[in-house]
Amino acid sequence: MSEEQPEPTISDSAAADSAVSNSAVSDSPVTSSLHGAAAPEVWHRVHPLTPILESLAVLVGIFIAAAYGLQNFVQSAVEDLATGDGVDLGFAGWLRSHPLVILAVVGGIVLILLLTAFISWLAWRVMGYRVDEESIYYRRGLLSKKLRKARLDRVQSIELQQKLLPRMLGMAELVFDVAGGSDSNISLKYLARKRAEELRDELLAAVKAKKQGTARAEAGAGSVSPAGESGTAGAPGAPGAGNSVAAGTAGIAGAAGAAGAGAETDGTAAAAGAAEPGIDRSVPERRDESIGVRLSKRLGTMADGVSHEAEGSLNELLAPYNLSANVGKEGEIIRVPVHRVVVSSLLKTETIISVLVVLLVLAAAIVLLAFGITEAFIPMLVGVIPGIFAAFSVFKKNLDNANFVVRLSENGLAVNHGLFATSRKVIPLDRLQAVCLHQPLLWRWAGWWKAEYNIASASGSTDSNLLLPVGDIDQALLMVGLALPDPQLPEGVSADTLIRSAMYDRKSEDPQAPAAEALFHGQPRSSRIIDPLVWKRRAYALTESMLVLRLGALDRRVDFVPHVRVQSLKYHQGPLLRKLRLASVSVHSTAGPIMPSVTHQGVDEAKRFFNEHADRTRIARQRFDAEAKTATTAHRPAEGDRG
Amino acid sequence: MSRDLSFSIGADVNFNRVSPKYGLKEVIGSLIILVPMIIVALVFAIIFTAEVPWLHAIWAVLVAFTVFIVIITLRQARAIGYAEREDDLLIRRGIMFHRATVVPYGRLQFVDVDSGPIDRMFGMATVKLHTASAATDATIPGLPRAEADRLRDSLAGLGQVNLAGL
Repeated sequence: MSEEQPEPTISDSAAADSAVSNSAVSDSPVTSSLHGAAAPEVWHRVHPLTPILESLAVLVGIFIAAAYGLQNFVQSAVEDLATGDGVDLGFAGWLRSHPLVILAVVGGIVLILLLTAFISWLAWRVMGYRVDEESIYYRRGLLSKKLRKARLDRVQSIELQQKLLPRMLGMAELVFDVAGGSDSNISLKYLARKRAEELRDELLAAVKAKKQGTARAEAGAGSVSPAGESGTAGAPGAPGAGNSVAAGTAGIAGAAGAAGAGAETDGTAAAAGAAEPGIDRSVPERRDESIGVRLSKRLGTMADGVSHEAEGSLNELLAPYNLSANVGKEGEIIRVPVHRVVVSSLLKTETIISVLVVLLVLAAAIVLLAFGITEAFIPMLVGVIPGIFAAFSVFKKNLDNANFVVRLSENGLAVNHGLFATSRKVIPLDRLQAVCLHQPLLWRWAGWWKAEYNIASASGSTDSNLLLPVGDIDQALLMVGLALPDPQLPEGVSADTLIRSAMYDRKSEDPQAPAAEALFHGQPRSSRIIDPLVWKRRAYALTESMLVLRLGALDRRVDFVPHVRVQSLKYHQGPLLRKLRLASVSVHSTAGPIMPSVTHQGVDEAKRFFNEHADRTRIARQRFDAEAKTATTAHRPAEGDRG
Repeated sequence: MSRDLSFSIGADVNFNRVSPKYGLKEVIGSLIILVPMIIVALVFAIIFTAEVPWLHAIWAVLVAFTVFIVIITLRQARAIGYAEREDDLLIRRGIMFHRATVVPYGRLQFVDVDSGPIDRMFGMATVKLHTASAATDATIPGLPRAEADRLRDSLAGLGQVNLAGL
């Protein structure tokens, strides 16, 4: 993207801006000259068991192969015994007469093990990580050396992962999500769990301080994230196509921001950041910020472990939802028990269908057997096995959400989950783009809901986008409330009534329900031909701060898109819709499970919505950024004093 | 033939048309594939005309299809419009399928200018706008090269001035 940059200085820093760089490095002195660090570099080593853990998959494979061979041998021996033949010990006899062979085999195995250990040791010696003020580096590789670098201000989240085996050995890996291509994550593995936790906390604080510095330098031009995203997104495209020119709207801003940050970090920002890591005092709460972000900011100013104070703040901020949440120890606000995850995953439509198919095939097989047709029985049983495995793997994936625990933290919501392998991550609420509530058909009797989100991140994979795997309505409201800005509803309608109305159309007994229902714009009657089931339920509602979409007749669903997060809009109408005088408008959010769309409204209403929503979202965003700007300038002197 | 084929989006906007040569370029693009197919079908039909006379139907259908495509493409090209408004860019296209996309300048992440070999023959380029959303399909094809460069620079400038956070 630096090809057609107007100024050389900018293109230089823009090139250095790419968040992750893979480069072959022959030796560490070269690295130091590359990055020009004056201070001696300190490379930390990862846990010595790392190469062994990494090659464990291969060892397990070998073990399984050996076990399989042995099992074959035993099985044939048993069969021979059963049929009355003597066990064929010819091979064993041959072995006994050639003891040298046994020696050679054992020696070979020992040699291989020694060699593995030696190579592992060599590999371990070159593995390491380094953290300096700007970036984190991770290097590895014996033959093909690899150095990965992530700028701290581009790190979007740090996840502590514990897979089954490392967990048994008390180890963990840290995964750094960098705004960039899908393969730009750095996975730092493995560290002793305690060390990993310390490092994560240290780095989270550093990342936060760094981002604040940059944000301040940009003086309200927006947060760092868009610059980071485009800086990296632009980079891969640029070398290939000579004609493809990333105009560098954000790239320039990013470079300028980074440069400014460098200057400023030395001054006040660094001082303030170092003194109070992770607290964003420079920017006070903004109205359109999600409630969770505002809460995090308040938490930052509180002393540690004052849970009743946190509870007070939480309940105050969630007042529009009429919720009273309890904050447990260590700021725990939600815990999903294992049994609920098990039952809820059994009640998912996919699980039910696969179980039904398996049962049907089994029943058919038994019926055939009863009629004396034995030939089909075994093949049918065999045919069922993959189905069972598929159902089981879905089930197992759902079990990964067992023990889902959400805690309040200064950086967002800290989530722990997993039954066998635990995973921890922080959901950065300030980067959530859209939220949805979802209720599969069979969850209705239990009144459970699932919450998911879209986030501005490279790896927008769907299964990691859970805000709540399963929860009752109060938990769902709590999580959605935290992730969304204050809905800013007209007098007489509370937020929870609106959301309940969106969840259970018209079935609420709340006295405010008719008023909330009046906010919803349903689809016109002419849409019943294309949406025979959902046309009555589908509707959209606008509040001052977000768009609420009510969707899904059987699997109920509600999408929420804050105005300040809307990227672009698209109006579309095909021939069929034109015949029916209908049209749809898509609201573009970042990649993720939520693809909001106002469907099949009357043409004029759709056009009006398209034009008005474009203005509405743009103005909301401008106000949001302007608030940050005034806040920053107003608070600067105060900060200097403190520093 | 200069009547306005495009639909109204409801707002009072003056849309810019893309280069009149764009339709021609698209037609050439589809002819490059279709004409050899017609020729092959025709050759086979003539060779086997005694054995399987219905082979003639294939090239006839292909010719009809080509004529249809050419007409549609030319009409579509005239329906593409874009408007640089004060705060956002509005793109409109389609006759059968109406589509309109609005991209606020503050949401622009970067802007691509592409031009393929046929594009270059006609001195044209395609401008593509990228936001943080993969769903944004804001593409303006068939711009004269100079206009494409101007638009790119203008969008880049506007994007930088209005740059919003995510």
